[in-house]
Amino acid sequence: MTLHLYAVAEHGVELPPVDGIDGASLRCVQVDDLDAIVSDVDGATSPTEAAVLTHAAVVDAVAAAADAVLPARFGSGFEQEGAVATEVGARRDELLRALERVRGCVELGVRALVGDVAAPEDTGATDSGRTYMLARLERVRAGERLCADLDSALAPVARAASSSVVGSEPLVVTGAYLVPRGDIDAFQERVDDLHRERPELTLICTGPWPPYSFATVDAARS
Amino acid sequence: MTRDDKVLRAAGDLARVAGELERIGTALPRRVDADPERVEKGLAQLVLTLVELLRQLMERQALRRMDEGTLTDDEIERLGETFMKLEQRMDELVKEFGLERSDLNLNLGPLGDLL
Repeated sequence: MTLHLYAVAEHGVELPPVDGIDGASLRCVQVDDLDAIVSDVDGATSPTEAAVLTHAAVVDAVAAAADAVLPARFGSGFEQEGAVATEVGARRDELLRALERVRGCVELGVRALVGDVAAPEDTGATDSGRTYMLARLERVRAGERLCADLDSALAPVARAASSSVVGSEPLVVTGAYLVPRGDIDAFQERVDDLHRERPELTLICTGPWPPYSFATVDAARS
Repeated sequence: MTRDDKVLRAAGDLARVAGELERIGTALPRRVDADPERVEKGLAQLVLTLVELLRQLMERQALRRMDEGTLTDDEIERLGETFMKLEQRMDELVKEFGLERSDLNLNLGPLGDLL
């Protein structure tokens, strides 16, 4: 029997009335003042679409019921309760700090896509190595600029922000923003403003999500 | 909860984003294909992914040096030509093995994507 970890919250968290992976019931493993929300699974859980969606649904439900929740990534499972307790206990301080950081906040995602990088892009047609390198450099810079533009427009309403370039043809940038629940509307207005200023951008704002990008439950194992 | 209600705002050319998302949808099962029938293709995918990783790392390093101004014009020209040719050759190899550019990636679990 293996334990699948969904999230970590403060002790006393209310378990939502949803089933875990393969219909198993959710339960808490208490570690000092923290609760790890788990369910029993047979062997290692494999990340099938159904299992991943169930994981996300459980995290959503837990996050809806509690003020501060750290979602866990879909992991390979723990062999027994003792292993969960050891893992969580070893990072207790870090987890408590992370809980404070995400308290009262949701994660909002923004994906920005821009069609044409204003640069000599036709690398196939050019014979000059220098032209090729300049085009490449411009592409890298365009990504950095878009990240910076996104952050300067949206980060002021967020408690924390992180953005990165995820594709270069077309240029795609994603940003994750940790936003207090009460500021979700203000954040969306900023997204609208940004689109008015930069109509060439395709912008998608999604959420509210549990703070996946701002939790460190499965940070690198030492 | 439906999955649609997670989209709060959407503005611009959404068809392009849909194309992007389709690519993300293939991320989950994306692993090296070890089926014995297609082992050659799976192996080519792995080898080409690693070669592409090295090519991109070298290119980034060269771009950084160019940005810092520590490359001569002659060096920039030669490096650019080399990377351009490597990229073209990579496109040919990918086609030869019946792969797509987007196949040249590996999902490293918690570490994210290789490329």
